[in-house]
Amino acid sequence: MNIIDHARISGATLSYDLWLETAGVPGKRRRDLRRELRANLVDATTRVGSRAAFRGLGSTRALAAAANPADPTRPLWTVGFVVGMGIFALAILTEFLVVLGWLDGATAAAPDGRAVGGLTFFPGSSLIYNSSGSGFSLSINFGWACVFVGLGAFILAARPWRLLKRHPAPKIG
Amino acid sequence: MQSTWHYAYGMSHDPQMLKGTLSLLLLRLVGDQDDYGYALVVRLRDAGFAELTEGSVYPALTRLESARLLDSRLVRSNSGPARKYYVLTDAGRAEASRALEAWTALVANVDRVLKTRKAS
Repeated sequence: MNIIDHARISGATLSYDLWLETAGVPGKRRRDLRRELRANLVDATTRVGSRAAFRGLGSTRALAAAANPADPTRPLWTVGFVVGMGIFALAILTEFLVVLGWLDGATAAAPDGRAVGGLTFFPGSSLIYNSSGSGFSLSINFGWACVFVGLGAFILAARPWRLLKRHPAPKIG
Repeated sequence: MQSTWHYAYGMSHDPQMLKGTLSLLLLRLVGDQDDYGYALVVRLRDAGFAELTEGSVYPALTRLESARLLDSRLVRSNSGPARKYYVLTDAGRAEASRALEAWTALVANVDRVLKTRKAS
């Protein structure tokens, strides 16, 4: 097996784990299934090559869905974490870009002094610009808006209210 | 069982029919010898089910384990990560017998209808 085979196997097991998480499979069970898939893929790749091994496997989403009926009573914590962190990072990046614009204005308006302000669409944020002989200093407080947005995205994606649902009757056969 | 497989060797199977009998086949194979996922795929292919994919066998094994018809144990491998070997449970043995009886009865009934049509 070469490095590409290892990368493909790692990619498939990570993708499988994500779909299992989306289906509401608990962490311990996911780890078990992930390890099993990895061992099977390593064996298949060693015997028939990665192309044939992955052709037979098909989509990891379908594999996860076929192996485990979705549990509608379990929140999607990992999905919530990934989405929440992504939105939080996006909000910080947006604020940073807006700060660059504000800085341009501050340097033009108060080239030798001090400017204090905030970002219009980001309540709680504050900016302090100080000019000195050798340059300038900028103090940034991103505020609570980005945390609020990230937390909101986490809650919406994780759907913790699923805990309130009743467990479905187990299927036999 | 062996003769049936040789008879079917090389023929393509109806996917729906195969899906319905996959659990029985897996319970039977694991009952004969404890094995892991990919090895079971290879054994099924060697038995004539060439079109069977890992994508259908692995979930079937997971479902059988979830239903406690199969148990599992990890066995170290020299060529890679530890392999998960499936073991038939008592419930699995009972289910295999029941499914085999159901299959035998189904085949007999289908055969009877087909012979009746041939005769008429």
